[in-house]
Amino acid sequence: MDMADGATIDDLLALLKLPVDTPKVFTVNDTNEKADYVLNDNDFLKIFPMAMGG
Amino acid sequence: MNASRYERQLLLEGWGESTQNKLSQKTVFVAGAGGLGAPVIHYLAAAGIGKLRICDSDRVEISNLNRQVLYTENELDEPKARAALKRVSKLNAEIDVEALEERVDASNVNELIAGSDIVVDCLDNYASRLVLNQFAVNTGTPLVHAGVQAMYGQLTFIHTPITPCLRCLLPDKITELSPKPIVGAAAGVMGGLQAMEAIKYLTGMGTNLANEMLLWDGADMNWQVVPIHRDTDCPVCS
Repeated sequence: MDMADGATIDDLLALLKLPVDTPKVFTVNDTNEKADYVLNDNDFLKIFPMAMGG
Repeated sequence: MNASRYERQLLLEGWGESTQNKLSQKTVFVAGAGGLGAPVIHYLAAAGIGKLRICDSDRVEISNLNRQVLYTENELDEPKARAALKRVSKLNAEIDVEALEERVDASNVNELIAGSDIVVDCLDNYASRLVLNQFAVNTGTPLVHAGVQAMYGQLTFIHTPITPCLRCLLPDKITELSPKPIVGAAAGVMGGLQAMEAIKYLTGMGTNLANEMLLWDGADMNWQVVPIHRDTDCPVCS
C-alpha cells in the first residue's frame, strides 16, 4: 500500500477503517511493534486481532 | 498419593514421583470457570495440582453448555465455582479445591490470589484481566493469558520483569464486545494450552511461552508464534 511519509500503523488502521479500540498484535518484518510505529518503504506488516472472550 | 492415578505422566522422562510431589504442593488460581476455565480446571485437577482456587461469580446458563465442559443441564443456575468444585472433586478427591464465588476486582484481588504459585487468566473481559495483570506485576506472580473468540485465540506466558505484561500489548482504550461469538472446541484448544503452560511452569519441565505470543486461527488451522516485547512506556510494568 502507498502511505504518506511518517504514516504509522494507527494511520493505516484508520485508512482501512479497522477499529483502534480492540486489542491487536502487530509485527513489522516479524518484529513486534506498537501502533505508533512509523512505517517505512517495503515494511511487511501483519495485524493479529487478540481474542477477547474466555 | 495414589501413584496409579498419575501413572501415565509419571512415565515421562524427568517427571517421576518428586515432580508429582512438587505438583501436589502447588496452588493455582483459576480466574474464570467458563469456556477457557473448564478445560484448565479439568486438566489441572487431573494432573494432581495440590490446590485449585476456582474464582467465578456467574451461574451456569444453558448458553454456556456449548463450551463449558464441566457443566451439564443438571447444574443450570448453580454458581459456576461451586459446580466446578463438585465436578473436579469427583475427578480427583486427592486435591484440595476452593470455590470463590467472586468477581475479581481491585478491591479483592490481593486477598483472593495471595499464596497462589501461578494465575491462569480464563476471564472474558479485559477490564478484569488488567486487574489480574496488575497483581501479577506487583507480586511477580506468573500469569498465563489466553483469549478465545469465534474460531481463533491467543496465548502467552507473562512473568514480569522477564516478559512484557498484558498492558504492554493493549491499546489505551478497549471497547468490549458482548456477547462474543465462539465455537466451543476453540475454547477447549486454548484452555488445554493454558493448562500446559501452568503444568510446565509448576514442574519445571519444558519451556514456557515467554516473550512470545501464540496466535491460532482455527478456521484455517494456522499457528503462528510472534515475538512480543515490553513497552518502555507501559503504565503498569515500566
